[in-house]
Amino acid sequence: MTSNQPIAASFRDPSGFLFTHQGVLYRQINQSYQANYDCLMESGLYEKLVKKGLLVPHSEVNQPPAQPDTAYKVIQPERLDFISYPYEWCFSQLKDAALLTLRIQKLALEAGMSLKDSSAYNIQFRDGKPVLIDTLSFEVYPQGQPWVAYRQFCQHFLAPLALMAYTDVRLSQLLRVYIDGVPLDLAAGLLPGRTRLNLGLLTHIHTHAAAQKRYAGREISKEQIKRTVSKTALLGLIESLKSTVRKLTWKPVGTDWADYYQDTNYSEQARQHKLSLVGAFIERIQPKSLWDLGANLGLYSRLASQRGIPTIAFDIDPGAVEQNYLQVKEEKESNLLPLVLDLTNPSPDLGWDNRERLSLVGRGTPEAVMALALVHHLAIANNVPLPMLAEYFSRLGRYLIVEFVPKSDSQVKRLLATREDIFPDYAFEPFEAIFGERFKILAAEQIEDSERKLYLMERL
Amino acid sequence: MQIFSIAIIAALGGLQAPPIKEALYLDPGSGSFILQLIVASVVGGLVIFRGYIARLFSFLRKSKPENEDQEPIDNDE
Repeated sequence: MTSNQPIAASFRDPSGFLFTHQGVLYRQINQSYQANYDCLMESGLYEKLVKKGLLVPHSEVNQPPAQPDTAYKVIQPERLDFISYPYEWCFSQLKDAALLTLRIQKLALEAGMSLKDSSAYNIQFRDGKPVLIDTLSFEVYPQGQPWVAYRQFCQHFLAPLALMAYTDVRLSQLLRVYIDGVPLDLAAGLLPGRTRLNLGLLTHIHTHAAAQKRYAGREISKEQIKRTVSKTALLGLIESLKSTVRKLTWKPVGTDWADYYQDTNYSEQARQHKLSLVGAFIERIQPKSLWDLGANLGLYSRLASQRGIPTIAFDIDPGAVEQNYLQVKEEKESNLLPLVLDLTNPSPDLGWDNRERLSLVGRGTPEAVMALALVHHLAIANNVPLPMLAEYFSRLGRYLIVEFVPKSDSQVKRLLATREDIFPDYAFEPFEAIFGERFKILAAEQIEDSERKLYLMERL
Repeated sequence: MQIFSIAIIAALGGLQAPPIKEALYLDPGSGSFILQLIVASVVGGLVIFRGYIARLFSFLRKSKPENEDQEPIDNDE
């Protein structure tokens, strides 16, 4: 790891930046931010937020700064297992992140500070709960000034949430295109007309978009009147945003996978045997981290997370991820992060110089990968050749727990029912030979009362 | 609701942007700034009004009102 290497995403805010030294993450605080940092620490706000689990804790360290000329202090924030992005979150994750941002802004105002940005990228999930990771987001509350991050909040949170709730849940993917949030005029155009009857959305999206249009490109005179906004009025604004966000709801009805476990061709015996086999494989390899690809509701992911292994449960279906996340919340589960991911088009490098938001693999890979009832979807429904699958899995993790579902299985029959079978290599023997080129097969077990096989493999 | 929107747009015509602090690193957007001034004034007024009403009811009932303002954002759910 290069010494004192600034993190590519950490360049917009002149208050400081993240850098790594010998693999450890640090944050340099610049002199220009000194007054704000001191206020955060001395006002009691930092302690309050950390105690409530709303802000990642940090410690001040003696690490030499990466840019000494501008440095005030260096802090070492608590490091998270994995950085996820808003376009990988389900509806309730984005909603909880929005409510957390508003809650922090309210607490900050009460402590005489304010959030100077409200980027969704400043929120991460830790043990099933959202947490603010940007310690430098606070500034001394500029008396009388409106909330500088209001527009950003509406673009990063309110607009995509409204689109997901009222138009289509898949519109969360607009956040992948618009890195600074969904433009409000676009959101206003895509939302159904009835959202104008919702006072919050009428105000913060529709009228907001109209106001932006009205003032776009207008020259602002320096002699313009001074108008201030009281703290009570700002708290009212936060209350209005909070109320608008809280009323937005979405329920996963009719999505592809949400009722998959009810629609499976498994017998109870097969299900139980598969659970015990996967559990035994995980016990055997004891991975430091695990990704469950095509995790659905996370039934098998929990075999890892409940053993204390940091686990990410990826699924293409936002409905499945929603249900999984709600279960994590409900049962206050640790070590499990459900995320939305289309494995045939994983999150790419995005933003400035394509280095601001990292690709899926660019954010780190796990020690073990689990691909249960997934290969047939990739190989048959998406025409991904088995050698490419084996190569990809081998790059992801050292260990692979993979299930092979043969053509005789009703689920595969269903995939082939409406198309020509152009997959002569899709069978046990070729599968084992092809994956055997990349992996050593440590175990291969037939799942009882089914035609499926479960493999444990280790990268060669 | 449309009347509300028209009223705000009309109000926008009579307002101009406040001077924006030079130190801001985030562009708040002129339209967003001005809309916020109006909305914050209205909802801020409502917050104060609601506070008076709550106090009035509290006085009439001689019982402590529920503090609904603090519950959702401040609780640890």
